[in-house]
Amino acid sequence: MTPKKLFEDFFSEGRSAFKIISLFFYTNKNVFEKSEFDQPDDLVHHVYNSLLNTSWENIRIIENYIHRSVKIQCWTVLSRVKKRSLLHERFSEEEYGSVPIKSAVASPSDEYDGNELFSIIHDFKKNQTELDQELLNLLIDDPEDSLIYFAAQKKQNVNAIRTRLHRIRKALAVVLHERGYFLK
Amino acid sequence: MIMENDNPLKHYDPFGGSDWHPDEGVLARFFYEKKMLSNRDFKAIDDHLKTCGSCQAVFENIKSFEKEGNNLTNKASSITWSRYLIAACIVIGIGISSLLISRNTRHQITSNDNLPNVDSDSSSYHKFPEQKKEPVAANKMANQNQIVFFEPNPALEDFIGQTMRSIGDIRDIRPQNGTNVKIPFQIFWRNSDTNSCAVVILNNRNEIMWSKHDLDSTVTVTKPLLPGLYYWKLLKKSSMVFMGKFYINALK
Repeated sequence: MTPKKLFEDFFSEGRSAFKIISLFFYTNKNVFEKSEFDQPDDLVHHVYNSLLNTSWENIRIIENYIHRSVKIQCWTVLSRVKKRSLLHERFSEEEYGSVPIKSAVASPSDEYDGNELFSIIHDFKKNQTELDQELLNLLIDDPEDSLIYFAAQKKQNVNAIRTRLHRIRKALAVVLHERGYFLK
Repeated sequence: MIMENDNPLKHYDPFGGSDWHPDEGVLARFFYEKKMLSNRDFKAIDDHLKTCGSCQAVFENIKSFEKEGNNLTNKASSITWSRYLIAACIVIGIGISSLLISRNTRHQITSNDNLPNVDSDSSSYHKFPEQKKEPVAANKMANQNQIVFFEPNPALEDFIGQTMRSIGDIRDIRPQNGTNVKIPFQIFWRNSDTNSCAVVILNNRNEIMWSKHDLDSTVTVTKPLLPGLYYWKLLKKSSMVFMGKFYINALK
């Protein structure tokens, strides 16, 4: 799926993703009109950009995937816009000069950060093969579980699984680093 | 055992905070891609949803948007293949209408009244079926038709309330969107330039019910319209500058 085809088949005016996003925009217009997404086209453009890095080869039914991802991205943007306006409100409620020295940008100690981290890892997982997704879930669920057991369950070579794990670890570290997370 | 260095998620605990609530993005992922979640994340969100009323409300919003979104996408995909069907219907329609026209030509030529009437009251669209003798059956059918006529048209709904800024300033538009009006009623707008406007009224199936051209800032609609949802377009230089909607005898 080329970016041009993605745009022409789904995101151009009158196409399905465009319609979904427009409907979402007008349903939540009161929130969006106070943000940088004050026109539906801005939201369409943002969601389109978020889908450009998709690994299309792992996807079975592209249309379903796009519709689902569009809706998820819409809700994600909405929650970010809401958070930002909440942060802004809190910031402006403080007296000038008594604002605590704390970044308005989400930091690991921020109460919202768990949701953000979950979303980043989930979206990363989405672009992996089914086996890699299971491996990542194994790391989350049972960090003490045996790789040998997992390899046997999947009828894979342990070394092959270990190589996969190494590749996922590096790729995830890059994604998290790009999003501002520092990994030792 | 998985080596500690091999696990980048060993400290992963996104939902460990005491006052944690999943945001819309997390709940949307939970709703659409449950199968992809790890057991731990699934359990954390599911347990939270069972106890938190505000998050349940957000989750319900996501569910209801999914229904609306599905309606849109189903219609969009059906539009693609049904284009061929529509094209076939048009060809058949043209054939039938040309037959009818040829039968009526003699009458039209002698009547001297064959110019198109813009403010026509011919209500060939949108008719209720003829009343039957059994009142119960007739009422039932009328109710069903009313529901159909009040159903919003997703394609037209996209344009509701939008003003196309590039074409000129249109202000103080009345009736307000979604109001219930009675025939006759007035459509009013304030035009920033001297270009004349046109008003077109459409039913919820995007069929033109009435139109009027060369207007300055107001028009009175006298055409008898059956109960239903109607959309109206304001055109300037053949381009749409505004689209609104109104109801006739809206159901309560």
